[in-house]
Amino acid sequence: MGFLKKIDHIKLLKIALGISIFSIGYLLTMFYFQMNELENNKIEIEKYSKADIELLHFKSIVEEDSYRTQSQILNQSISSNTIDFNAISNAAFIKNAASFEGIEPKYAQKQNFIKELIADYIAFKKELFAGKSNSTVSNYNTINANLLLNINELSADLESKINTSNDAYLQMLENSKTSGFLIALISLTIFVLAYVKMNEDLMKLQKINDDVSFINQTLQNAEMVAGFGSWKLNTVENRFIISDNFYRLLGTEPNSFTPSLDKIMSFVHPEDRSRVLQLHEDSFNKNETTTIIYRYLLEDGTVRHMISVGKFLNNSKGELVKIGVNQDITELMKKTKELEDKNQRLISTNSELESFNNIVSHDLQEPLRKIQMFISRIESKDFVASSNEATITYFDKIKSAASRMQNLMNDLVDFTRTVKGDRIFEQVDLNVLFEEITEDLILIIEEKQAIILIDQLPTILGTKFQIQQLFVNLMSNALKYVKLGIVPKIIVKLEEFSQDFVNDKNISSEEYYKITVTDNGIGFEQKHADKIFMLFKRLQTDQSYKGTGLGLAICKKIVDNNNGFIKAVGVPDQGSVFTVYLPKNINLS
Amino acid sequence: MDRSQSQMQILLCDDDADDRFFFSEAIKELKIDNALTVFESGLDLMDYLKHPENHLPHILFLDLNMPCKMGLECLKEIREDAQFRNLVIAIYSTSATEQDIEDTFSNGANIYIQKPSDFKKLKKIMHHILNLNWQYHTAGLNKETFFLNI
Repeated sequence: MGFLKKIDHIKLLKIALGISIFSIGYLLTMFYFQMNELENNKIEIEKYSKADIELLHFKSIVEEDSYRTQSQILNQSISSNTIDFNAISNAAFIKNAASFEGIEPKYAQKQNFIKELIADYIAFKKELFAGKSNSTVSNYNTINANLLLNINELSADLESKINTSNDAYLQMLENSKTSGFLIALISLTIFVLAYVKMNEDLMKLQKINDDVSFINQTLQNAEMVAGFGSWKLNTVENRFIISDNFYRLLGTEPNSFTPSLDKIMSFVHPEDRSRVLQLHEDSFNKNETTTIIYRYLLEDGTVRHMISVGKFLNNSKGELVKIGVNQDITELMKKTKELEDKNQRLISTNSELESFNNIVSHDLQEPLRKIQMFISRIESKDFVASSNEATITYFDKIKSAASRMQNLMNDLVDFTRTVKGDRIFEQVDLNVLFEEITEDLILIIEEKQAIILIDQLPTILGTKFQIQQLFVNLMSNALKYVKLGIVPKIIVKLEEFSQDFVNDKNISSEEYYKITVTDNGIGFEQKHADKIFMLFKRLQTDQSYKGTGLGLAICKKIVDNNNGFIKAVGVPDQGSVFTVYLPKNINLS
Repeated sequence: MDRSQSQMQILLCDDDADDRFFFSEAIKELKIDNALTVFESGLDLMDYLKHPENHLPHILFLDLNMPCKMGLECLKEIREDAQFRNLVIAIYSTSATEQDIEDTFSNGANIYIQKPSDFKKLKKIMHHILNLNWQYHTAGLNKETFFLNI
């Protein structure tokens, strides 16, 4: 069967079985007809045999009669008494022709002819009795010989016929033997094929059985790991079957009770029970899939949250079956609750931050602005002329303190605004943006006679006001942190690169633009490079450099918000390079 | 209301006494022929505007954060009235949040001034505003030009 296995052997088996069954049917029909014919043949042979026997019997009577007559003729003692006419005319061959019925006509004709010859024979014999003469004897002898010849002829014909029929019979018998053998052989083949097929089916069934038990085992393990249980309700037999882990979900050992709807309902939290039962019963109206979230109250008092999904199916008997899966979502519910709480706290923190932002941006700025306004009023009213030197110094200090405070508050507002992150991404043409920035900073640029060189820059996707803030901060830092007497020189460039490594991440030019802002300012020690982006970290303690410690923290925040990177390289008293990587494609977020 | 006088009719509505003081000082020092009418609340302003005897103003400086009636409400109410269609309304506020700028712009204010912290700057702003060609300004008004940057 090796080669069969390579092909679709089940199909082949089926074909072989089909052919065998067809052949056996054909052979059986043939066999039936052969048997019928054999039967007919046998009857015919019997019939001809019987006719032959009668004929032979008749022949012996005629021979005996002719013998006696011949001896009488020789002995010259002819007497009518010795001639037995009755024996001849009463012979079955003459009287009862039944045995010749159904025999081929040519034999019957011969029989009739013989009958005629008998009549002649008797007539000649009578003549012989009447008076013996040479001519009568001769006539008698002639007819006698003729009669015997004809009888012999018919007998030979009949025997020949019997022989032919017998040969045919033997041939047929041979044929039917062959048929019988073939029938037996094919039946045996069918048995063998059926056995092989049955064996195959059995093996397949065994394999399926193995698979099913494997799947069952896997399912049981899965139920344990994932914390769910399955159940089945046969609605016709009203039979409930629940999986082992379902028992465990209920806080009981597997098979510790006989499951029923009532029993399982008794585990449902009393507050949920009527709702669950109602939903379960309603589901039968339309045989709809149900999803129910409810609680179990276990015997030890623990509450478990469940999600139960039920579905209707028909089994192989056509009975309606409701099957379902229950999953323990207690942990999930706990986590969700925690997350919700955290979210709530986050929302309230955010709104607090927002109100803080409002306070800083409005309520705190208001009095400060007044202070600054009054300062500017005093200044403008011949204050300098009428005051002594100390007062003027103190007054300047008040002014610079107020101005520092204002800067700080502005930066704080900016920072919280970037934290809040209303991120609306739009196309930002950096060339246009830098024109605006240099316009904003024109006072300080003119004051310091700074040299600003700006490369051709790309258009990026980002939140415009934030990107603007980012470069304003970088530019004003570059203008601010410069040694007295040195003309600031700032170069903004779009750098070519293939791959850079920033913050443990590879950055490729396919995904990012690299923009550098290079200055010739006071620089910084490279070991402080990371600190400068932290909130309220100021490297400069020198009061002549006004800073809030927020500017670069804001920059970092903005770059983060826009899914980019920022790094700084500094050399003390030589200058610094700030590199900003901004994504080319918004999909990076 | 009539507007026959050559005098510039200026209205200021601000609940803050100091700011009202700075404002009138600045205008005084600018030496422009004007008639400044000051209101401490939005309600007073609306009462005045609804009174037919009063002069039709040329320009209104409107604070946003005021008790009782907020500036934005006044702005909406004024713009609903057809006779004030051409009244120049300058928002005059401490805050300059995106939201405030957006709201006042879309409700038909002409310009947004953030209150400065320097008196000289205030004078500069007033000078700029009072000499502005409003027809020209309003024709090219967009969100960039709406927020005054001096």
